[in-house]
Amino acid sequence: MENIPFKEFDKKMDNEILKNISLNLEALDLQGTIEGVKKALDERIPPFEIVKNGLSPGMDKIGEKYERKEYFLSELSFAAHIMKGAMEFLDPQLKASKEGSLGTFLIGTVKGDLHDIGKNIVSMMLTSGGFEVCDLGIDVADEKFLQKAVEIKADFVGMSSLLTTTMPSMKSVMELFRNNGIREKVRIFVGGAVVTQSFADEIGADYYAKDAMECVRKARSCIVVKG
Amino acid sequence: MHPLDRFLSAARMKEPDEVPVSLLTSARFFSRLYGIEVFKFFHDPRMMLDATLHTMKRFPEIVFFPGLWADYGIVVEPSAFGSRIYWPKNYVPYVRGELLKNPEDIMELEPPDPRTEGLMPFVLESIQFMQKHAPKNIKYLYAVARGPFQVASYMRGPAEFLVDLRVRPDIARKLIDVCTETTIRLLKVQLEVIDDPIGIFVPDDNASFLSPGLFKEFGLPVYKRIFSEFDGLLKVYHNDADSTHILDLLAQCGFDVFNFSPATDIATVKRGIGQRVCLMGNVDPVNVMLRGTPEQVEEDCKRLIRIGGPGGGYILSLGGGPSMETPEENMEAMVRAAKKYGKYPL
Repeated sequence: MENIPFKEFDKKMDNEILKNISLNLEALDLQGTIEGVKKALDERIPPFEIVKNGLSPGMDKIGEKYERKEYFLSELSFAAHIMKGAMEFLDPQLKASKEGSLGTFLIGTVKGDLHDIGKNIVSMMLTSGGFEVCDLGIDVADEKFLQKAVEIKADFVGMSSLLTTTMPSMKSVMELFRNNGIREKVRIFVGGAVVTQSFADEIGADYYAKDAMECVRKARSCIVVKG
Repeated sequence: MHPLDRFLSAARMKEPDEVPVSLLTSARFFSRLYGIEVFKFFHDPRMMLDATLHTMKRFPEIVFFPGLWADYGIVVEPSAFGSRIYWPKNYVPYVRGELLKNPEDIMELEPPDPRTEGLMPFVLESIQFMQKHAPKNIKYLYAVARGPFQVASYMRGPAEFLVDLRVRPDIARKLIDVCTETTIRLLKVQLEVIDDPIGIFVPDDNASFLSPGLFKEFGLPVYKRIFSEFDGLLKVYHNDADSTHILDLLAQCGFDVFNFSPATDIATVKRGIGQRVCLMGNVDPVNVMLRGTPEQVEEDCKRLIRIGGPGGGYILSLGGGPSMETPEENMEAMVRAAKKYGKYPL
C-alpha cells in the first residue's frame, strides 16, 4: 500500500464511488444513491465532481431510458426526488462555489398557464445536467422573466406553454427582452405540448425542445462558460 | 343512418354505413362559436345548453360527445374535497395549488358526498335543467366523472403523487381508493337523475404517467372496479397522454370505447386493444385541426380511416377536445373526409 502513490489510489477509489452513485441513480435506488453521495463527501470528493461524474451520468442514463421507453414519467419524477435528496447534501457547498456550472438557466411557465409537471422535469434535468437553474414557477408575467434574467445575469431563458391561448406570451417576452437590450445576451428556449419547431422559428426563439432531454442536449451544445 | 346511431354502432364494434365523426364537447370551442366568454358558459346552465345546441345545429353530422354535458371542467371532483379553484375569464377553470401538501393528511381523507359538496350538486342541478329545457330529440345521455389518477394528481401534485407510488405506496393507494370511490359515486348520482342514460365517460390522462409495472399494480385493479360497476352501459375512456406502454393493460380494464391522442400510434392501437374496444381518435387537435388547412385535415382523416376503419369499431375524432380557435372549415373537412373515404365496405 505504502508503495502506491496516494493520489493515484485516491483517484481510482473516487471513480469507483462516483460510478456507484451513477449506477444507483440509474437503478432508481434512493438509499444507495444518498449513501454514495455521503461516502463521496466523506472521501472529500469536491461536490461539483459528485454532480458532474456521479449524479449527472446517472441522470443521462435515465434520460436515455426514457427516450427508449424503458422509463416513464413515474421514473423521471422518482429520479427527481432522489436528485433532490442528494442535492440537499451538496447544495450548501455547491452554492459557496460556482465551479462546474455550465451556466444560469432561468425557466418558467408563461402568464396565464398553470401547467408545471413538464417544466419541473426540465428544471430537474438541467440541474443534474450541470446548469444553475432558477425556476420562476407557473403563470409568470412577462416583466418577471425580464427582471429576473437581468438580476441573475441569465445565460439561458426557457419558457413553457401548454395552451394555444398562452403561447403568444412567449413572443411578447422576447419582444420585451429585445426592447430592453438583452435579447442578444441570452439563448431563448421554448417548449410545451402545443409548441413546435415552426412556432419557435416564427417567433425567433433560439431553440425548441420537445422534451427535457432535448433541452439539456441543446443547452449543452451552446454552453456559455461563466466567467 | 342518423349520426348518433352511426356512433353507437361503431362503439359496439360494428361497421355502420360510414365512419362516424365525433368531437368532444368543449366549453372553449362552444363558447367561441356562440359568442360568449367561457366563464359565462360555466356560470349559467341556460348558456351552457344554448351554446351546446347552437354548435350541434351548426355541425349536424358531428356527434358531440358526451353531447349535453353539465361541464365544469376538471375542477368538479377537486372542488368537492376543498381544492382552491381558479376561474379565468375566457378559459376553463383550474385547480390552483395542491390541497394535500402533507402526505399524512391523505390517511384521514374521505370521499365527498356528491349531492352536497363542491361543484357536484351544481352538476346534478344543471343536468336536470338541461334535460328539462333541451328539445325533445336531444337527450342527456352520459354520466361523466374524472378518473382517480387525474383527481389524485390535482390534489397531491402530479410529481408528488408519482413519487408517493414508490416512497409511500400505502398512502398513494389510500388516495387512489378515495378518488376511485369518488368517481364511482359521482357517476352513480348522475345516473339517478339522468332520465335515459346510455353510458358513462371517464377521462383520466394522468394514468399514462405510470410505468407498466406501476399501472398494473395501482391502475388496472381500480379501472376494473370502476368499469365493472356499470355493466349494461356504454363505457367510454379518454386518455390523451402517450399510452403506448400500457395498451395491453388498458385492454383488460373493461371499457368499450378508447379516445386517444396522436401521441399513441393508431396502427399499434388498432392491432392490439383495437381488436377488443372501439377506437375514437386521433387527429392532432393542435397541429392539424387548429393550425392545418382543410386539405391537410382531409388528408390526415383519410390516413386515419384507412388504418382505424377496417372491420368497424372506429370513430373518427380528435385526440383531445377541439382548441378554442379551431377553424370551422376544418371541422367540415373532417365530415367531408368521413363521407369520401369512410363508406363501408371500405
